Order: sequence, then C-alpha cells, then structure tokens
Amino acid sequence: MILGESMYLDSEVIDIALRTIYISGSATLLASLWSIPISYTMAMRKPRSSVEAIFEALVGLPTVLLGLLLYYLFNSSGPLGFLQLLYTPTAMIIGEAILITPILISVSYRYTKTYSKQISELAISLGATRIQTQVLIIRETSAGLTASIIMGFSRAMGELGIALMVGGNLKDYTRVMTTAIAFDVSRGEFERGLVLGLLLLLIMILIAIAIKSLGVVGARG
Amino acid sequence: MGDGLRIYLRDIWFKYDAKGEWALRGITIYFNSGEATIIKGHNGSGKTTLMKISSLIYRPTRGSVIINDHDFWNLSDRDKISFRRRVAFVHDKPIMLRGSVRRNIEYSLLIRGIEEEEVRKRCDEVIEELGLKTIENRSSNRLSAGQAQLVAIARALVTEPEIIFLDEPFAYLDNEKRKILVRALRGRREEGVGIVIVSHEPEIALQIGIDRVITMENGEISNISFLR
Repeated sequence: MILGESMYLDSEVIDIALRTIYISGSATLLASLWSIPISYTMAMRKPRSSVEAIFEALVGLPTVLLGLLLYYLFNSSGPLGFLQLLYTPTAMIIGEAILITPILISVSYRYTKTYSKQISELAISLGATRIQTQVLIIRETSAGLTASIIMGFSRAMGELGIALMVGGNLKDYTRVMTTAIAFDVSRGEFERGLVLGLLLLLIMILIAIAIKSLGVVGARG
Repeated sequence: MGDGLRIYLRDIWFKYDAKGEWALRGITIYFNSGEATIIKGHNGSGKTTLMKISSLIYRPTRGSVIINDHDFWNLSDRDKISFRRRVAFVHDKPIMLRGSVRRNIEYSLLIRGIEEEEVRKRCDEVIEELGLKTIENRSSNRLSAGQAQLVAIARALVTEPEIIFLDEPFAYLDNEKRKILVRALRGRREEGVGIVIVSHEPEIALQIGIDRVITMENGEISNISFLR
C-alpha cells in the first residue's frame, strides 16, 4: 500500500536506487575479478583447512571495522589521502568489493571443490587435455559462481557501515538506499524509510532472479 | 584398432593420502583388448581404485603402469592423452554434464577434434543402440538414475575404446535396460574390445562372455578364475 503512494517514489528515490545498483554492481564485478580465480586456485590446490576457516570467518567481518580502516586510509592525512577518494562512490565501490570478497571466495570455493574433482576425473577419463579439463570445470561449476555473485551483490546492496563512513551519505552523490533509510529514520520519516527498505528488498530479489536466469540455464541438477 | 592394447599393472600400491591406509597392496595384473573380465569383492576391497588406476586416471603411489611396453606415468602429456583416448571409464555414479543427453554424448568426440558430420553419425548410432532416442534432447538434470547411467555408458562407447572399464554398470538399470546393455557389450566383446566390469551381480555380467573373474579382498587380489 505504501509503495503505491507516489509521493515516496519520486525522482530522488529512483536516483538513489540506480546509484545503489551501480555502486553494488561495480563492487561485485571488481571483487569477482580476484575472487573467482582465487577460489579456483584453492579448489585445485587444496589449501590447509585453516585457509578455508579464515575466509569463512571473514564473511562476518563487521562493516564498521572495515569502514573505519578505509576511513583511516582515505582521509586527507591518511596513507592514501592523496588519492582524494574519501566521500566518493569509488571509495564505496572499493570498500564493498573488499567486504564481499570472502563471501565470493567461500561460496564459489565450496561449490567448486565439491564438483571439480568429479568433473576433472570425468574429463581425464574422456581424454580431455589440461586446458579442456579447466574449461569444463569452469563451465560445469558456473552455477556455484552465480550463487556466490548473487550473495555478494545482495550483501553489497544491504551494507551500511562502509557506505556511511567512506561515502558520507552526500545527497545526489554518494547517498544509497541503506544510508537514505538511516537518514530518513533519523529525521523521523519512518514511512519513507520503509518504502525505501521494501524497494531495496524488491530490487535485490529481482536482480537475483535475473542473474540466476542468465547464469544457470541448464545448471547441474 | 591397430595392434590392440595391453595395460599391465606391476606391483601397484595406492593410498588416497599420505597418512591413510593402503587402498591397494602390491597388485600385479594385466588387461588386454579382446578380453572380458569381472572384478568382484566386498565394498572397500579396492575394486574401484584398481579400475581408476587401470583406466589411467589415478597415478599409483608405488609401482608401474605399463601400456604397450611404455611406462605410462613417464610419458609426455601428449602421449598420455593419446593412450587415455584409447580406453574409457564409466563411474558407478554417473556424472552428467550440463546440457542435453546428446551434448553429453558428443562431448567426448568434440574434445578429440572429430568433424561434426562424423560426431553426428556416431552419436546417432550409439543413441539408437542404447535406446536413448526418446530422451536425446532432454536436459541431463532431468534423467532418472538408470537413464543417466546409460548416457554415461553411451558417452564412453561412442569413443570406440579398445578397453572399456565399467564400475557397477547394471546398478541402476531395470531388466529391459540391462538387456540392452548386455547386448551392446557382447557386441563390443565380439569386435575385440576389452571389457572390465566391477559388479555385485556377476550372473548378469557373465552373459557378456567373460574370460576371467578377479576377486579382491583388502586391497589385494585374492583369486583369479579363468572361465575360457
């Protein structure tokens, strides 16, 4: 019912929603660049269980802690202050990419580890070359990668600590759904906050469905 | 088929990890094209491990795999692949690739760089032979266990191996499908293909025309009976 009241779905809200998708999507793409190769390397090399445990523990990394560290790095007197990234969408993208890296690695690694041995054995038994075997493993485990990407993206979209600390919630520049909700609640506009919250949830679900239908057509049963 | 294939396992020992128990203990045996063998034994006796070493998938912890007078594990990658393409192994639990039944069967030919026309012809033949025509376009994740087993066997047979290793091939098959498989394997046997079957139901496998029965116990061969 609240969603139907157009007074809350103004151009600013749409702008915030699009910015949220852009920042979280970029962070997910960036994190995928290193997380997917790392998870495949881990699946092939079978690391010590402590390495797995570290990545799994980092999944629960407090965003405020990561935000604080990034604030220290990016503020004008910090080691990376010369880059002038604090309170920019770029800083938010970097922060969220770091935040979701353990999720992407843990989820895709768990899936890849389970299937890569089977697929690799099958490929060898069918006479595949090393490269053909690697290609087959990547192709056959893509459903797990899709799942990890959806989880990472959802986590990035729903994140607040980093967005506030290194984004600063600047209107028309770094304000995203979560920081806008916090801002609305702080000034007593609960209904608008609720609309944004429901919209955030809706976008997360729709994008997850879209990624899944694109990525796992004919996935392993 | 050339001069045929002889896989000779000499004093094979195998462990799955350095601290684990020996899964195989000093096995010496050969498998030739043109011969049919059943391997039987209790669960955990080492049958599947022996099959995976014989079909050139696992490297033994100790001992040699001699294939047509070549020490297989000392060959170049290229030569290894060349020999691997002359044998086939079918897992007891069928591993299906994404996509259709036909795509699964085609895969083993496509990676060999065989021309499309030939791929289609050979796939059509094996699909017809194993009674898979009605499901050839079905997604592999919508198959029953028995159908998946037959697809995995078709994927191996289509490569025209000189020796085929089948781990519990009848396990998920109903009577009708068992008859189809027995007929297909008996045909291969008569054409000079080597067949090695792990089975808990040797009476079915015997219909193929078996030469030897190997019994395994605790990672060792406890008995070999020659039936012909």
